[in-house]
Amino acid sequence: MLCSHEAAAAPMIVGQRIRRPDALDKVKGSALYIEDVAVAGALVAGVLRSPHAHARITRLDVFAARTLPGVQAVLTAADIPGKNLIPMIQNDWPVLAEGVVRHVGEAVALVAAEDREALAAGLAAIKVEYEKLPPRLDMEEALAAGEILAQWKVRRGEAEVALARPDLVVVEGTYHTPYQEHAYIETNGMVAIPEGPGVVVHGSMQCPFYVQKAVASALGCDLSHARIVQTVTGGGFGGKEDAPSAPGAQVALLARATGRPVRLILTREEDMAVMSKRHPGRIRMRTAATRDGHLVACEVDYLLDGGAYATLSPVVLFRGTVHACGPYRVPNVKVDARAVRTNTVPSGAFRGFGEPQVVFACESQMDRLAERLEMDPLALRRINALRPGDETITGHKLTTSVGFEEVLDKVAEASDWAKKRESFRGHSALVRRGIGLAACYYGVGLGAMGKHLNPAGANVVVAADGSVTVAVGTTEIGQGMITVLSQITAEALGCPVELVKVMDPDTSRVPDSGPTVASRTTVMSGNAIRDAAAKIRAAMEPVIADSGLSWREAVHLCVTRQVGLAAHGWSVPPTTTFDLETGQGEAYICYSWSANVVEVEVDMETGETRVTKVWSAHDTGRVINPTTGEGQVEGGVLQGLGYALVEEHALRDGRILNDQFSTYIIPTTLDTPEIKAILVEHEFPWGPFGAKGLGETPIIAVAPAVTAAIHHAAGVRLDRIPATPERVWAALRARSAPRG
Amino acid sequence: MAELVDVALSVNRKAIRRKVRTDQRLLDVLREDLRLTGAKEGCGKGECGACTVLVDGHAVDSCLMMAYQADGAAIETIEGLSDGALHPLQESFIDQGGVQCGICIPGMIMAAKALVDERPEATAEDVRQGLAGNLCRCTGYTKILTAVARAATSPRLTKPRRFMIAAAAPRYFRPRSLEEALEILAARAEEMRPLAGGTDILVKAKDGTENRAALFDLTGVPEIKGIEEKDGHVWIGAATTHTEMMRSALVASAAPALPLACAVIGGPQIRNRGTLGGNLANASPAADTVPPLFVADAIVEVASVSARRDVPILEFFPGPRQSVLARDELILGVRVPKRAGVRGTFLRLGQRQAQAISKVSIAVAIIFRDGRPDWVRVALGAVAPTVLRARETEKALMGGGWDALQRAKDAVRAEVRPIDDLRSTADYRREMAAVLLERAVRRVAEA
Repeated sequence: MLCSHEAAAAPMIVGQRIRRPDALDKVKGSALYIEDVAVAGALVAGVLRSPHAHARITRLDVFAARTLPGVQAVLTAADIPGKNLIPMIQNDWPVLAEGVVRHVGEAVALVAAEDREALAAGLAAIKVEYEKLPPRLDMEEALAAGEILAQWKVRRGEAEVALARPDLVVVEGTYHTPYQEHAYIETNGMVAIPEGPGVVVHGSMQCPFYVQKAVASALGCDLSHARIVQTVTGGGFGGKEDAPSAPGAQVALLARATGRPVRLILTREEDMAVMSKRHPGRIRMRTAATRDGHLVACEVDYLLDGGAYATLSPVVLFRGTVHACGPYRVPNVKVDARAVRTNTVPSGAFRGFGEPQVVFACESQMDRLAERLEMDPLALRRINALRPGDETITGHKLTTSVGFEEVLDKVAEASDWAKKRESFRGHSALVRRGIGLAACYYGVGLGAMGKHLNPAGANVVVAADGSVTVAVGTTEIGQGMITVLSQITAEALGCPVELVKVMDPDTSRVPDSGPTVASRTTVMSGNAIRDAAAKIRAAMEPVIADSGLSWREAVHLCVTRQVGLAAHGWSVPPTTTFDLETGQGEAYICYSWSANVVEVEVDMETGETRVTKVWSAHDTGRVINPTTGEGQVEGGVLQGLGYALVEEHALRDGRILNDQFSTYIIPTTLDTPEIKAILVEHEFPWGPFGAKGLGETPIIAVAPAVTAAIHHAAGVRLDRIPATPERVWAALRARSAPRG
Repeated sequence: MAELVDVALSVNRKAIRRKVRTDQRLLDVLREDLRLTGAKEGCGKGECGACTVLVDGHAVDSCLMMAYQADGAAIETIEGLSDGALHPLQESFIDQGGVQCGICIPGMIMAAKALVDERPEATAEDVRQGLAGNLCRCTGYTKILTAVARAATSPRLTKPRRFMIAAAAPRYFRPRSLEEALEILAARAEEMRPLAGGTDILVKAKDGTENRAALFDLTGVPEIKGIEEKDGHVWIGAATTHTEMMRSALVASAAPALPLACAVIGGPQIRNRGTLGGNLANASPAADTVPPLFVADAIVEVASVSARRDVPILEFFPGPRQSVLARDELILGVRVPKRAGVRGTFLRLGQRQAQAISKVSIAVAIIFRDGRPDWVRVALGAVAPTVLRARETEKALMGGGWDALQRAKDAVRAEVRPIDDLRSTADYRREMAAVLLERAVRRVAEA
């Protein structure tokens, strides 16, 4: 029998460093991103946006704008044929403001025009008057006012009783984390083209099926008439999960209103001002342990600023809630988590999805506890590390693919942790070295809160020449999906990987496969492909039997025997149970595990921190392609270093002040340390060839490792990130000030 | 309203003559007219480098160059890189896994090409420096740096070929002599503003505070280019780029802090375009070239069609974001007196290591006699409404020794007038002025 025999003898394609199939067009400059797509006769679109954080619209007059030459359409909420709603968890997010604006930059009206000059004139001619309303800009005030968008809790054992025990050591802290900007280099953009009674929308996005729902809802048309095609997408990181639904619905409305193709490309400033960001967080935490370092209790009060609309806040908060105590055994847990509504730009999905905030707090607590107990921070983690057979704080009993101990061992060994921890200690130089550690785990996929979005589909078609076309509903956003799914397809079918072509996602080709988020793509689309491939193989094998044919010969034989070589695959994850009242149950189908060691130099006069090296270890199950895997780690770690050291938004009256790359600072080559990725493979039996997810763990536990290293170097602890030179300097100065 | 002008240029070794609108940037002509969409507009302000192309072999942000400024130039874009076979850099980016989402890659590869063409033996540090003007958000740069380092050793790298083409742009947009430039200004000073590197004015145009269609180009004027020694001075033409100053031993001999300051401005693309005259005319209190000119006692040479005058650099900036330049005047250049034995340095703090606007900057110049400071200049940027010459600090330093340094640190804390802004805080800036002063003085003394 050809395929399996060949596969058994030949080295597996899974696990190989194959070249990225999408890299060739990208290095030649011929990959077409949305801004590169030429559409004959396309109008240009723009959005009139609110200058106020909170105001009543007392007048909105578009008559004059509509009469201008070159202006083809001016639309307000009153012109929306379907629902003025972007469907998301709570259905509170309008396509265009209706009566009231709730954040600076909220869309008020849309214009489509023949050229940019006419567009500018059209936008300027819209008459809007506002009556300003008091804005709520502070998340603590919003909490006090009961403006709660979502809340979750975890109850396990008796945390309060344990925290009162006199024999335990208790540490506590309050931690603050900032907005983080995705800073994808391609801004959001969409082109809509009328098609039949609906539209086809091309654009930059992670989740075509989200955009599809938004477009169909706004147009009031069937989902089948809202066809969405993802173009080559210039980075997402979560920023193109929920947010593109708004421009998608907006161009679709303009295309239907004008009967013409319409193009909407956001400027960098517009994109930074109005698109989603990582939620700012405030976390209070108390942690109790025995004097020999066993965690006994953890109490967490977790608060996120959701902004003006709920969008994805409930699920972002959920992930943070169930991971709030880190990858450790904690018998007594009380987590109360809330996301509140403020008059700021809606926060949304961002790589790590509610974990980086709470993990910064949790891991800072572990470093504090180690200091109080006079223990090595690594030793403290080892004592409490979750192992097979243990339960998470939600009572999820872990059985397989729990590689946390090996992750800790590998990162400690590679970084020479023990030696450096000792040798860096107690220097008096002007520039001091330090080394810090932090860890996390990450539930793969959508978990208990996203079951309805969980399944994924794939269509696999084998052509007469043996080449293979694969259509999936998840997307390539730079993370390497095309590469990894090509390898999975080749492995599952037994065909040469060069013959596999993964198509650009198009909602007309596969059923709703959920979003490309939550590190779920390899597992979910990979399994859907395996399902389809198994069906094709089942059709082929009776024909080819033990003939010893090559792949192409086998396909040729099947074609001559009129065997259909196409199949639909479908992947539904194992059933889990979860009780939202107690926060107990199986929150996710499995977990990836990660630990980082960060080495820094701190300038004791200027407070500047230079990260000199990072070791980043991850158990992500079977690694399908080590090169793309390392790429995910290196990129995620650098985003994490930005979050730790420089990235934040400053707001005044709800307006983002730093809305460009000269003021919102992300790392350059000169800010990049050596990053050593370490991949540990504890296979996940249900995952394709044992794979789990890797997209997000690299960013999560970076910031607390940086601040732990700063503490080791300089003796000051920062409970607020980013750890800017100003903040480190202020902490150093406060420590050296005479005590009164 | 924009008008159409003729330009002649070569794009990927093909000669092109066409009409371009006077509000079109090079990026617009490449993308919209020539359908070469490899260069991307990530920001339109020269911050991300995604639109990097090569102009006469130099990496340039094509969003910060007007199309008519490319008249007579040889442009290379990513589309011209592979002649059938992939360029070694393209091969290496694929092999090493340097590509993820890919949006930054054409610009990244072009910046890398400029680097390896100029310096085939590039070290890892050269590569980091050479790519510091290109942002990538996916890769953590790690595999990109490896890819470029590997490609730099490729035997397949060939020497770049020069391609010459005669210029065609009309002189009223691209004057070829100082006289022509001054005449344009005299006649049209109300409506037209001069443009050189464009690294400030075209950023403002992107924000709508300058009009892209109302500029004319000075980079074809030979009289304001170059670095020369004459009459005991070093003269630096206004259209001299940061890259040229950074590499000039002559500049270093008279104004030792200046090349050091130029080396940390922007990234390579900005340094290749940004000019000394532009930096002065922009009158930012954080401009990095200005403190080095303050401590060099530089004289700014200014001319209109009817008169020439010299302005001491100390008098050039009467207030924040203001210069003494009249609307019909041009900066011709800067004259720096040569002083025997002068030593100097420039230090600054920014929000990151490259492409950063200074939070605090300092230039120090000292002449030592018998081991003691005999002549001292100290100037700071970003700590007052304009660049500040710290005269009390200079006096305190004159004596030399540890006590003098402590007095000088107190003096500089008293002299600066910093504010809180997006980049930093007043308290931090005040203290850092003292910290940088000490470091700069020690560096000069130990040099």
